[in-house]
Amino acid sequence: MKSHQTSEITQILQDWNDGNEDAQELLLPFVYNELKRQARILMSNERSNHTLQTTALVHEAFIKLSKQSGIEWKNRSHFYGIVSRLMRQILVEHARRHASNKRGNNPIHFSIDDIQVSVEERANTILVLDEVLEHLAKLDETQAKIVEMKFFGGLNMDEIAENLGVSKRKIGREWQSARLWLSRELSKK
Amino acid sequence: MENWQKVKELLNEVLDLDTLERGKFLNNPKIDKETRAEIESLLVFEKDSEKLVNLSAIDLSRGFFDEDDSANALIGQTFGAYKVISELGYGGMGAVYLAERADGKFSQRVALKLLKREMNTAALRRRFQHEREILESLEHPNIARLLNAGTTDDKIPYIVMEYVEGIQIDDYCNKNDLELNERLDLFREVCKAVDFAHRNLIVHRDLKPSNILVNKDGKPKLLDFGISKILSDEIKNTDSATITKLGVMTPSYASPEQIQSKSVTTATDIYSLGVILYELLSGHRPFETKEQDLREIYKAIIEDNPPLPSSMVKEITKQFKEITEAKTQIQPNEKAKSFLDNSSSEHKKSDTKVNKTLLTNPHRINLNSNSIRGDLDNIVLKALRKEPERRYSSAENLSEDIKRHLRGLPVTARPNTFSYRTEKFIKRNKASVFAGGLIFIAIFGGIVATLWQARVAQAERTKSERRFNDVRKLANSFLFEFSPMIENLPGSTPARELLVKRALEYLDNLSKESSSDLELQRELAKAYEKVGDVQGNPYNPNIGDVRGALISYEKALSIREKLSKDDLNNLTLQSDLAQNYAILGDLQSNGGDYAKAETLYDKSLELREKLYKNNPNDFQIRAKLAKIIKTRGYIPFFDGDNKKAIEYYERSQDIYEKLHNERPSDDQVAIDYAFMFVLIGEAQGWNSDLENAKINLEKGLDMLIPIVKKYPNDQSFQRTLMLAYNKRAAGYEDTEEFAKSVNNYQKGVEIAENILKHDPLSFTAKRDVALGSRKLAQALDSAGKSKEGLVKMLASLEIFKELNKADPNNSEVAYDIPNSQFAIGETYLGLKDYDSALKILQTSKAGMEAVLKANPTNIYAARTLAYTLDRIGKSYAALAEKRDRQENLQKALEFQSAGLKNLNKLKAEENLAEYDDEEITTIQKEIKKLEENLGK
Repeated sequence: MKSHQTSEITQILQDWNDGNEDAQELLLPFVYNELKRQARILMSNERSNHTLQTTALVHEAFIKLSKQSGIEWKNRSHFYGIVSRLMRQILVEHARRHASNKRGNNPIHFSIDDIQVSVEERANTILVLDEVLEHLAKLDETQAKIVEMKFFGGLNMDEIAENLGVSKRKIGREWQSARLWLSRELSKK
Repeated sequence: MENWQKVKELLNEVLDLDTLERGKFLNNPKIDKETRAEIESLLVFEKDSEKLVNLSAIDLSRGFFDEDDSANALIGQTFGAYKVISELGYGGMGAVYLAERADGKFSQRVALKLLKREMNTAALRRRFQHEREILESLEHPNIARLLNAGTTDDKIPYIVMEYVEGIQIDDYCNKNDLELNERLDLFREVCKAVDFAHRNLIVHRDLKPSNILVNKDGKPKLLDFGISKILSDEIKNTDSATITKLGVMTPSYASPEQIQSKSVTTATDIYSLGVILYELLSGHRPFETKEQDLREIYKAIIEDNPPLPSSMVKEITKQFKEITEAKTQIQPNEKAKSFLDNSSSEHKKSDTKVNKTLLTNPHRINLNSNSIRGDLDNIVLKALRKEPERRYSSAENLSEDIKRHLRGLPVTARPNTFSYRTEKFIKRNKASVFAGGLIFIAIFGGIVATLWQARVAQAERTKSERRFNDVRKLANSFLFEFSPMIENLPGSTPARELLVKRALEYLDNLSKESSSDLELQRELAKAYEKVGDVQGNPYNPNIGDVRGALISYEKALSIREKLSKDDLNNLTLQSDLAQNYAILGDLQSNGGDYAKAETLYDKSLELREKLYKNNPNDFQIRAKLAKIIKTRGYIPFFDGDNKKAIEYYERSQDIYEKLHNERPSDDQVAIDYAFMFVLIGEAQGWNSDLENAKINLEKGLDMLIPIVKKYPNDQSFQRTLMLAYNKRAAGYEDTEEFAKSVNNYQKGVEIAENILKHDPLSFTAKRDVALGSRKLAQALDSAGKSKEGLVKMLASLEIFKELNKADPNNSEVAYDIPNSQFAIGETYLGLKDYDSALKILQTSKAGMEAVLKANPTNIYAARTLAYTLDRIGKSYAALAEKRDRQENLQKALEFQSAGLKNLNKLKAEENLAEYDDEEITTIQKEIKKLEENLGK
């Protein structure tokens, strides 16, 4: 099945290069599998350097895609942005399945440092963040993108800056104010 | 919140300040109350927000994926009438489950393919839907059938397919120890399924053993049309992006065109079938050793010739024998293992084509190389050709060839020789249905074939007639819409040829059924003409098959002459007839038979004049008249009657001038008009009117350059400019402005090379490069750069030889070779390398004599032969200074005298130019001196 997947990816990337917007969505299966693979690694390594792993996911996905498809990838940062979006889609979908119905009563967990936090609670956090992010997008699209890439894509500031084509300093400031806004909104949930 | 932009800016400023300063900052009266309140409400979360810095969704998602797609959760669930039993496989966007009928009506096991929940997006649903549609149209015993389809309650689409309980084809062959013939029979069944898909305009695009399962009854079934393509989709949706994009499939089975992102056609599947057959016969894939590295395998697929299947088997057998002999004491298991350890280093040393991975199970097949060598090698390699149009034109043809082999009949596949390669477009299998270098060949070929089949199958008369017309319409569309569309595109020659040939086949068939249909006869004539064009129309990109072109044009002519008798007033018909005579004239003229050419041109001219008389105001008719008058002028020009040529040229130019003034924006006419200056200048040059020649040549070029510049991809215009440069270069030679001459020839060669680069199969383009290089070489020689020239000259001679090999019937090229050799001889003389000169001049002499024997009226050949004889004599005379004085002087006298005799004969027949007189005088002096030296 793996080889079959390769053929699909190559097809998709080519379609994409040809300007087919659908193609982005068609990458979903690939990102999904990568995500799952990474999730498994994350599991086996427990919590050690997990943030690094998240970033690595997108990098690896990128390298793998380029390698498997044999295609010279033109727009690396563009790709990162798209993978972030796809990961958001997947994670939110999964979170929905794992979330408890009585949302809102649960505390929001910003970190999994506390090993006790249940799957439901973490799922709820993702959903709440997704929701709040949705609002932010209406207010400030750029900031929403930054948060998406940061939170779902695990990209660092340099990569986000490259993706959006603005200076790292500017990204830093946007991220700073967005964070405050998000915190406030999350507190209302 | 509209002022968020403002808020966030202020917020960032505030955050840079310490607590004290913040208060001051916010007290600024310019900040309104509302904004201040907003900022303050956010600042409260300053510390909280730090938690978000390292927040990561994937961290939070730990455990989400544990139950892994809830595969188990699906077990026991029902989808329509089917209940899931177990998971079969798991792909990118979907999972496949084994299911059975839940209603108990009858027991039936099925494969259920389900889009994953996470993948349930619009685009993926469309893709899933696509596969469903394809399967719906493919009901065939060798294709896994679609049984049902639907969506679940939560709107997830699924399809229910026939469950093939079997193993993949290669494993099946090996496990059952199938004999060669059994393997071939099995493979032919696969071909049947693929052919069926093709006839339904579907290209599978991912054929490989794991997609071909063989069931208990030994029946192969094709699976997984997940990335297949419906060709007809692309007709509806003809934007070029859709047409050219492709899918690269599993690399080892991917075709060169898939890897290079070129158009995917049915030929793509033929290639994959070739790889599969290769594997069934040899146990290995053609480029297996390179499969470790994707780039390597891509490169190999595009560039390398696959080893013959038989030699692959031989190599494997040999290597395995070596191992087993070397390691007899070791236990079987360890034997293999230890071989793996050793072989990697051996592999590097010996650089064999086989690597260790191949040898892990060398006995997977019970075949030997002898049974594969020959026919089967050729069949496999034909399916694996790099160029899609050179493969089998259909899966059926591939299957047929195997059948022929099984029955001991000769197969159509032939070794990949050079002569075959050059003839490839001519000697195509007549029965071919599918092929294509361009997607629409496959599309339309496919439709035509389908319609044709349908027509044969349908007994009902009215329907049959309608389809008959459909086929005819499509064939015409081939010819009159697509062929011209790509005519002047670089690189399109083979595609055009295919296109036209295919149309011709259909028309041929149609005309047999309906010989009384006059319109159809006319179409048929046009079709023959188009084929002739591609075979050898000297003014268009062509493949250099002059003899084939003559036949095609004559076929067209005979149809038209017949039709014309009954329809003397039909304008189009008369015009076509005139065109037909003219093009035949061109071929005769190019072949050096000017007498025949003259007759044909006169017939054409007569018709054109008649048409003009009846339609004196018709722009096109006048343009065509101007053209034939110009062409007619070539004959006296070639015969050396420059004055007469100029008369024709000027008459033609007059017409073009008027046309140009009427429609100054018509670039075709402008180019024709400008080119007349060049032709007139050229003829004046030959007529020793160097002053006017120069004026006209320069004027012509000045007009041509800016217009042609606008059409960088128009081969015909580019070629006109190239000819003009060459002619002006020749003019500069006459006026002894050699630097200018070299410069102009260089420009000409540049254009020619550029055309050839874009259309590497074009005979005309290749010949243009050779001719241009030769002229450039001569100019370099005159400019004192003999050595530089010699290199060019030798290179051009090689091209001529290549061309001659490709088309031995082309008399022009046959003349080009000794002519080049003569020029090289002259250069050697100039460089005082008399031995080399003598050697090549002797070759030239023999070649020239052969040319004259074939066409005694070729005065150019006669003149060059005369000079060749003289130059041989001169070489001997020079050599006499070094050795064998007496003997060489004697020979020198003999040859120079022969040369002089020939020249004098030509002069008596008025076939020489004025400056030949100077040469004659010189030769006479030299002969006199030789006689003195010999004491005569």
